[in-house]
Amino acid sequence: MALYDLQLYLYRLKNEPEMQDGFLLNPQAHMLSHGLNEQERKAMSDKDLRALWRYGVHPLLLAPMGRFFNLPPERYRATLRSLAGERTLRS
Amino acid sequence: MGEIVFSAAMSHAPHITGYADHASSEVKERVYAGMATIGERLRQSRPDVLVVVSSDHFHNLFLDRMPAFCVGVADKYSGPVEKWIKIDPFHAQGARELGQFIVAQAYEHRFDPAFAENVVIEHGIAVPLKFLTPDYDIPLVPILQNCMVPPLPTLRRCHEFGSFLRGVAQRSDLRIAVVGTGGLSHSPGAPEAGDIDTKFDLELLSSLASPHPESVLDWSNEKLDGAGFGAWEIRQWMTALGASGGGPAEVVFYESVPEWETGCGGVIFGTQID
Repeated sequence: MALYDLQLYLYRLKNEPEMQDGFLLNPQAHMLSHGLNEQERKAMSDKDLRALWRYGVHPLLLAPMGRFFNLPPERYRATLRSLAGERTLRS
Repeated sequence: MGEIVFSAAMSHAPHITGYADHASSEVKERVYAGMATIGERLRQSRPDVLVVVSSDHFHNLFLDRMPAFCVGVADKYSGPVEKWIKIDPFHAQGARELGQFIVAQAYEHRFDPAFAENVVIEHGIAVPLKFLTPDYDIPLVPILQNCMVPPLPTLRRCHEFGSFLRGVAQRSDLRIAVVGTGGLSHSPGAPEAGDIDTKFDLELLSSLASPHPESVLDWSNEKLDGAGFGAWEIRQWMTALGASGGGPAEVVFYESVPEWETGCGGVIFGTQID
Protein backbone atom coordinates (compact mmCIF):
# COMPACT_ATOMS: atom_id res chain seq x y z
CA MET A 1 0.00 0.00 0.00
CA ALA A 2 1.27 3.50 -0.74
CA LEU A 3 2.62 5.47 2.20
CA TYR A 4 -0.22 7.96 1.75
CA ASP A 5 -2.81 5.21 2.18
CA LEU A 6 -1.06 3.70 5.19
CA GLN A 7 -0.92 7.13 6.81
CA LEU A 8 -4.57 7.75 5.97
CA TYR A 9 -5.42 4.50 7.76
CA LEU A 10 -3.42 5.61 10.82
CA TYR A 11 -4.97 9.09 10.67
CA ARG A 12 -8.44 7.58 10.72
CA LEU A 13 -7.46 5.16 13.48
CA LYS A 14 -6.21 8.12 15.51
CA ASN A 15 -9.36 10.18 15.05
CA GLU A 16 -12.34 7.87 14.51
CA PRO A 17 -13.69 5.81 17.42
CA GLU A 18 -15.47 3.48 14.97
CA MET A 19 -12.14 2.70 13.33
CA GLN A 20 -10.60 1.97 16.72
CA ASP A 21 -13.50 -0.31 17.65
CA GLY A 22 -13.25 -2.14 14.34
CA PHE A 23 -9.52 -2.67 14.73
CA LEU A 24 -9.83 -3.90 18.29
CA LEU A 25 -12.69 -6.26 17.40
CA ASN A 26 -10.82 -8.03 14.62
CA PRO A 27 -7.48 -6.46 13.70
CA GLN A 28 -6.67 -8.70 10.74
CA ALA A 29 -10.07 -8.38 9.12
CA HIS A 30 -10.09 -4.64 9.71
CA MET A 31 -6.66 -4.12 8.20
CA LEU A 32 -7.43 -6.40 5.26
CA SER A 33 -10.63 -4.52 4.52
CA HIS A 34 -8.64 -1.28 4.44
CA GLY A 35 -6.01 -2.65 2.10
CA LEU A 36 -2.97 -3.00 4.33
CA ASN A 37 -0.45 -5.45 2.89
CA GLU A 38 1.03 -8.38 4.79
CA GLN A 39 4.08 -6.47 6.05
CA GLU A 40 1.96 -3.57 7.26
CA ARG A 41 -0.51 -5.91 8.96
CA LYS A 42 2.34 -7.70 10.70
CA ALA A 43 3.87 -4.41 11.87
CA MET A 44 0.54 -3.34 13.35
CA SER A 45 -0.18 -6.76 14.88
CA ASP A 46 3.28 -6.84 16.45
CA LYS A 47 2.90 -3.20 17.61
CA ASP A 48 6.15 -2.72 15.72
CA LEU A 49 6.61 1.04 15.80
CA ARG A 50 10.14 0.72 14.45
CA ALA A 51 8.85 -0.89 11.26
CA LEU A 52 6.20 1.79 10.85
CA TRP A 53 8.86 4.45 11.28
CA ARG A 54 10.98 2.79 8.61
CA TYR A 55 8.00 2.72 6.26
CA GLY A 56 8.09 6.51 6.50
CA VAL A 57 5.15 7.18 8.81
CA HIS A 58 5.03 10.76 10.11
CA PRO A 59 6.00 10.95 13.79
CA LEU A 60 2.72 12.69 14.63
CA LEU A 61 0.85 9.69 13.28
CA LEU A 62 3.24 7.25 14.92
CA ALA A 63 3.02 8.72 18.43
CA PRO A 64 -0.77 8.20 18.61
CA MET A 65 -0.20 4.53 17.75
CA GLY A 66 2.10 4.32 20.76
CA ARG A 67 -0.75 5.55 22.93
CA PHE A 68 -3.21 3.28 21.13
CA PHE A 69 -0.92 0.36 21.98
CA ASN A 70 -0.76 1.61 25.60
CA LEU A 71 2.96 2.34 25.55
CA PRO A 72 3.98 4.89 28.20
CA PRO A 73 6.18 7.69 26.83
CA GLU A 74 9.39 6.29 28.32
CA ARG A 75 8.86 2.95 26.58
CA TYR A 76 7.87 4.65 23.35
CA ARG A 77 11.10 6.63 23.38
CA ALA A 78 13.19 3.59 24.27
CA THR A 79 11.61 1.57 21.47
CA LEU A 80 12.55 4.05 18.79
CA ARG A 81 15.73 5.52 20.23
CA SER A 82 18.27 3.43 18.32
CA LEU A 83 16.76 4.66 15.05
CA ALA A 84 17.78 8.26 15.80
CA GLY A 85 19.44 9.84 12.78
CA GLU A 86 18.27 7.12 10.40
CA ARG A 87 15.47 9.23 8.93
CA THR A 88 15.64 12.92 9.70
CA LEU A 89 12.77 15.17 8.77
CA ARG A 90 13.80 18.04 6.51
CA SER A 91 11.91 21.18 5.68
CA MET B 1 -10.10 52.04 14.97
CA GLY B 2 -9.18 48.67 16.41
CA GLU B 3 -5.72 47.55 17.39
CA ILE B 4 -3.48 44.72 18.48
CA VAL B 5 -3.44 45.11 22.25
CA PHE B 6 -1.33 42.07 23.06
CA SER B 7 0.99 39.68 21.30
CA ALA B 8 2.83 36.71 22.72
CA ALA B 9 4.19 33.29 21.87
CA MET B 10 4.52 30.15 23.95
CA SER B 11 5.07 26.41 23.78
CA HIS B 12 2.06 24.10 23.60
CA ALA B 13 3.54 20.63 24.15
CA PRO B 14 0.79 18.20 25.23
CA HIS B 15 3.06 16.68 27.86
CA ILE B 16 2.91 19.99 29.77
CA THR B 17 -0.50 18.94 31.03
CA GLY B 18 -0.71 15.29 29.94
CA TYR B 19 2.41 14.20 31.78
CA ALA B 20 2.76 17.20 34.05
CA ASP B 21 4.26 15.27 36.94
CA HIS B 22 6.93 13.59 34.84
CA ALA B 23 8.90 16.82 35.22
CA SER B 24 10.25 17.91 38.58
CA SER B 25 7.86 19.96 40.67
CA GLU B 26 10.22 22.94 40.47
CA VAL B 27 10.35 22.88 36.68
CA LYS B 28 6.62 22.36 36.42
CA GLU B 29 5.96 25.29 38.76
CA ARG B 30 8.24 27.61 36.80
CA VAL B 31 6.65 26.72 33.46
CA TYR B 32 3.12 26.93 34.83
CA ALA B 33 3.92 30.28 36.49
CA GLY B 34 5.34 31.62 33.23
CA MET B 35 2.33 30.54 31.23
CA ALA B 36 0.01 31.99 33.88
CA THR B 37 1.91 35.29 33.75
CA ILE B 38 1.35 35.50 30.01
CA GLY B 39 -2.33 34.80 30.68
CA GLU B 40 -2.56 37.56 33.28
CA ARG B 41 -0.92 40.07 30.98
CA LEU B 42 -3.23 39.00 28.17
CA ARG B 43 -6.33 39.56 30.27
CA GLN B 44 -4.99 42.89 31.54
CA SER B 45 -4.92 44.07 27.93
CA ARG B 46 -8.74 43.64 27.82
CA PRO B 47 -9.01 42.12 24.35
CA ASP B 48 -12.37 41.69 22.65
CA VAL B 49 -11.06 38.69 20.72
CA LEU B 50 -8.17 36.27 21.12
CA VAL B 51 -6.54 34.97 17.95
CA VAL B 52 -4.56 31.81 18.68
CA VAL B 53 -2.20 30.72 15.92
CA SER B 54 -1.09 27.11 16.14
CA SER B 55 -0.08 24.16 14.04
CA ASP B 56 -2.44 21.24 13.63
CA HIS B 57 -1.31 17.75 14.60
CA PHE B 58 -3.43 15.66 12.24
CA HIS B 59 -6.69 16.34 14.03
CA ASN B 60 -8.16 18.81 11.57
CA LEU B 61 -5.99 18.49 8.51
CA PHE B 62 -4.46 15.58 6.66
CA LEU B 63 -2.24 15.18 3.61
CA ASP B 64 -5.23 15.28 1.27
CA ARG B 65 -5.65 19.01 1.97
CA MET B 66 -2.90 20.91 3.71
CA PRO B 67 -3.31 24.68 3.56
CA ALA B 68 -0.50 26.97 4.67
CA PHE B 69 -3.03 28.95 6.71
CA CYS B 70 -6.54 27.98 7.81
CA VAL B 71 -8.81 30.43 9.67
CA GLY B 72 -11.60 29.27 11.99
CA VAL B 73 -14.95 30.91 11.25
CA ALA B 74 -17.23 29.13 13.73
CA ASP B 75 -19.58 30.37 16.44
CA LYS B 76 -18.28 27.87 18.98
CA TYR B 77 -15.23 25.71 19.58
CA SER B 78 -14.91 22.66 21.81
CA GLY B 79 -11.98 20.75 23.14
CA PRO B 80 -9.70 19.21 23.83
CA VAL B 81 -9.98 16.27 21.45
CA GLU B 82 -7.17 14.42 23.27
CA LYS B 83 -8.39 13.09 26.62
CA TRP B 84 -4.87 12.12 27.59
CA ILE B 85 -3.73 15.74 27.93
CA LYS B 86 -5.88 15.94 31.07
CA ILE B 87 -7.61 19.23 30.40
CA ASP B 88 -11.29 19.28 31.32
CA PRO B 89 -13.63 19.51 28.34
CA PHE B 90 -14.55 23.11 27.52
CA HIS B 91 -16.41 25.26 25.07
CA ALA B 92 -15.27 28.65 23.89
CA GLN B 93 -17.27 31.21 21.99
CA GLY B 94 -16.03 31.73 18.46
CA ALA B 95 -15.58 35.19 16.96
CA ARG B 96 -17.13 34.20 13.65
CA GLU B 97 -17.39 37.72 12.27
CA LEU B 98 -13.74 38.47 12.86
CA GLY B 99 -12.73 35.11 11.36
CA GLN B 100 -14.71 35.88 8.23
CA PHE B 101 -13.33 39.43 8.14
CA ILE B 102 -9.78 38.05 8.34
CA VAL B 103 -10.42 35.74 5.38
CA ALA B 104 -12.11 38.45 3.30
CA GLN B 105 -9.32 40.90 4.09
CA ALA B 106 -6.71 38.27 3.27
CA TYR B 107 -8.07 37.88 -0.24
CA GLU B 108 -7.64 41.63 -0.70
CA HIS B 109 -4.11 41.60 0.70
CA ARG B 110 -2.38 38.80 -1.21
CA PHE B 111 -3.06 35.97 1.21
CA ASP B 112 -5.30 33.03 0.36
CA PRO B 113 -6.03 31.12 3.55
CA ALA B 114 -8.46 28.26 3.79
CA PHE B 115 -11.29 28.66 6.25
CA ALA B 116 -13.14 26.15 8.40
CA GLU B 117 -16.44 26.09 10.24
CA ASN B 118 -15.35 23.05 12.22
CA VAL B 119 -11.99 23.38 13.95
CA VAL B 120 -11.40 20.69 16.56
CA ILE B 121 -9.51 22.19 19.47
CA GLU B 122 -6.47 20.04 20.20
CA HIS B 123 -3.46 20.56 22.41
CA GLY B 124 -1.89 23.23 20.20
CA ILE B 125 -4.63 25.59 21.33
CA ALA B 126 -6.03 23.83 24.42
CA VAL B 127 -2.79 23.78 26.44
CA PRO B 128 -2.08 27.51 26.04
CA LEU B 129 -5.76 28.39 26.50
CA LYS B 130 -5.85 26.64 29.88
CA PHE B 131 -3.40 29.28 31.11
CA LEU B 132 -4.37 32.23 28.92
CA THR B 133 -8.12 32.22 29.57
CA PRO B 134 -8.90 29.65 32.30
CA ASP B 135 -12.57 30.59 32.11
CA TYR B 136 -12.62 30.42 28.29
CA ASP B 137 -14.41 33.75 28.34
CA ILE B 138 -12.72 35.61 25.48
CA PRO B 139 -14.13 34.94 22.00
CA LEU B 140 -11.70 32.98 19.91
CA VAL B 141 -10.40 32.84 16.36
CA PRO B 142 -8.14 29.81 15.85
CA ILE B 143 -5.71 29.95 12.94
CA LEU B 144 -3.81 26.84 11.87
CA GLN B 145 -0.45 27.17 10.14
CA ASN B 146 1.19 24.22 8.41
CA CYS B 147 4.31 23.40 10.41
CA MET B 148 4.02 19.64 10.05
CA VAL B 149 4.21 18.59 6.40
CA PRO B 150 6.72 20.27 4.07
CA PRO B 151 6.73 22.35 2.04
CA LEU B 152 5.98 24.86 4.78
CA PRO B 153 5.25 28.57 4.61
CA THR B 154 8.50 30.44 5.21
CA LEU B 155 9.32 32.23 8.44
CA ARG B 156 9.09 35.51 6.56
CA ARG B 157 5.70 34.61 5.10
CA CYS B 158 4.37 33.82 8.57
CA HIS B 159 5.74 37.14 9.82
CA GLU B 160 4.00 38.88 6.92
CA PHE B 161 0.78 37.10 7.85
CA GLY B 162 1.17 38.47 11.37
CA SER B 163 1.70 41.97 9.98
CA PHE B 164 -1.42 41.43 7.90
CA LEU B 165 -3.35 40.52 11.07
CA ARG B 166 -2.15 43.78 12.56
CA GLY B 167 -3.66 45.63 9.61
CA VAL B 168 -6.89 43.68 10.01
CA ALA B 169 -7.09 44.80 13.63
CA GLN B 170 -6.67 48.41 12.58
CA ARG B 171 -9.41 48.07 9.98
CA SER B 172 -11.74 46.56 12.58
CA ASP B 173 -13.21 48.15 15.69
CA LEU B 174 -11.83 45.47 17.98
CA ARG B 175 -9.11 45.12 20.58
CA ILE B 176 -7.35 41.97 19.43
CA ALA B 177 -4.80 39.75 21.16
CA VAL B 178 -2.62 37.36 19.14
CA VAL B 179 -0.80 34.40 20.63
CA GLY B 180 1.38 32.09 18.54
CA THR B 181 1.94 28.63 19.97
CA GLY B 182 4.41 25.82 19.44
CA GLY B 183 8.12 24.97 19.65
CA LEU B 184 10.71 25.33 20.82
CA SER B 185 13.20 22.60 19.93
CA HIS B 186 11.65 19.14 20.01
CA SER B 187 10.99 16.03 17.96
CA PRO B 188 7.68 14.62 19.14
CA GLY B 189 7.03 11.04 18.13
CA ALA B 190 10.40 10.66 16.38
CA PRO B 191 13.34 8.54 17.57
CA GLU B 192 14.93 11.82 18.67
CA ALA B 193 12.01 12.53 21.03
CA GLY B 194 13.39 13.94 24.26
CA ASP B 195 16.36 15.61 22.57
CA ILE B 196 16.32 19.33 23.23
CA ASP B 197 18.62 21.85 21.57
CA THR B 198 18.97 24.33 24.39
CA LYS B 199 21.54 26.36 22.46
CA PHE B 200 19.05 26.84 19.62
CA ASP B 201 16.28 27.78 22.03
CA LEU B 202 18.37 30.32 23.91
CA GLU B 203 19.65 31.85 20.69
CA LEU B 204 16.06 32.24 19.52
CA LEU B 205 14.97 33.87 22.75
CA SER B 206 17.95 36.23 22.88
CA SER B 207 17.45 37.18 19.24
CA LEU B 208 13.78 37.94 19.83
CA ALA B 209 14.68 40.00 22.89
CA SER B 210 17.30 41.98 20.94
CA PRO B 211 16.59 45.32 19.23
CA HIS B 212 16.31 43.40 15.93
CA PRO B 213 14.06 40.42 16.57
CA GLU B 214 13.28 40.14 12.87
CA SER B 215 16.81 38.79 12.36
CA VAL B 216 15.28 35.36 13.05
CA LEU B 217 13.47 35.64 9.72
CA ASP B 218 16.80 34.92 8.02
CA TRP B 219 17.30 31.61 9.80
CA SER B 220 17.61 28.73 7.37
CA ASN B 221 15.44 25.65 7.12
CA GLU B 222 18.55 23.59 7.92
CA LYS B 223 19.01 25.44 11.19
CA LEU B 224 15.45 24.70 12.23
CA ASP B 225 15.71 21.09 11.08
CA GLY B 226 18.74 20.68 13.34
CA ALA B 227 16.63 21.55 16.38
CA GLY B 228 14.07 18.87 15.56
CA PHE B 229 11.02 19.13 13.36
CA GLY B 230 9.00 20.54 16.27
CA ALA B 231 11.12 23.67 15.94
CA TRP B 232 9.33 24.32 12.65
CA GLU B 233 6.59 25.65 14.91
CA ILE B 234 8.53 28.83 15.63
CA ARG B 235 6.64 30.01 12.56
CA GLN B 236 3.82 30.85 14.97
CA TRP B 237 6.25 32.95 16.97
CA MET B 238 7.07 34.86 13.78
CA THR B 239 3.37 35.42 13.14
CA ALA B 240 2.96 36.84 16.63
CA LEU B 241 6.07 38.99 16.14
CA GLY B 242 4.58 40.38 12.93
CA ALA B 243 1.29 41.08 14.68
CA SER B 244 3.09 42.99 17.42
CA GLY B 245 4.46 45.49 14.95
CA GLY B 246 8.08 44.90 15.82
CA GLY B 247 8.64 43.53 19.26
CA PRO B 248 11.17 43.08 20.81
CA ALA B 249 10.28 40.26 23.14
CA GLU B 250 10.23 40.08 26.88
CA VAL B 251 11.30 36.54 27.77
CA VAL B 252 8.88 35.33 30.42
CA PHE B 253 10.16 31.79 30.89
CA TYR B 254 12.31 29.06 29.47
CA GLU B 255 12.92 25.52 30.67
CA SER B 256 14.50 22.61 28.86
CA VAL B 257 12.26 19.71 29.87
CA PRO B 258 13.30 16.31 28.47
CA GLU B 259 10.44 14.63 30.34
CA TRP B 260 8.05 16.76 28.30
CA GLU B 261 10.24 16.23 25.22
CA THR B 262 10.29 19.98 24.63
CA GLY B 263 12.21 23.17 25.14
CA CYS B 264 9.39 25.14 26.76
CA GLY B 265 9.38 28.91 26.44
CA GLY B 266 7.16 31.93 26.42
CA VAL B 267 7.58 35.56 25.42
CA ILE B 268 5.49 38.72 25.31
CA PHE B 269 6.20 40.98 22.38
CA GLY B 270 6.33 44.71 22.86
CA THR B 271 3.29 45.92 20.96
CA GLN B 272 3.98 49.03 18.90
CA ILE B 273 1.44 51.84 18.92
CA ASP B 274 0.80 53.19 15.41
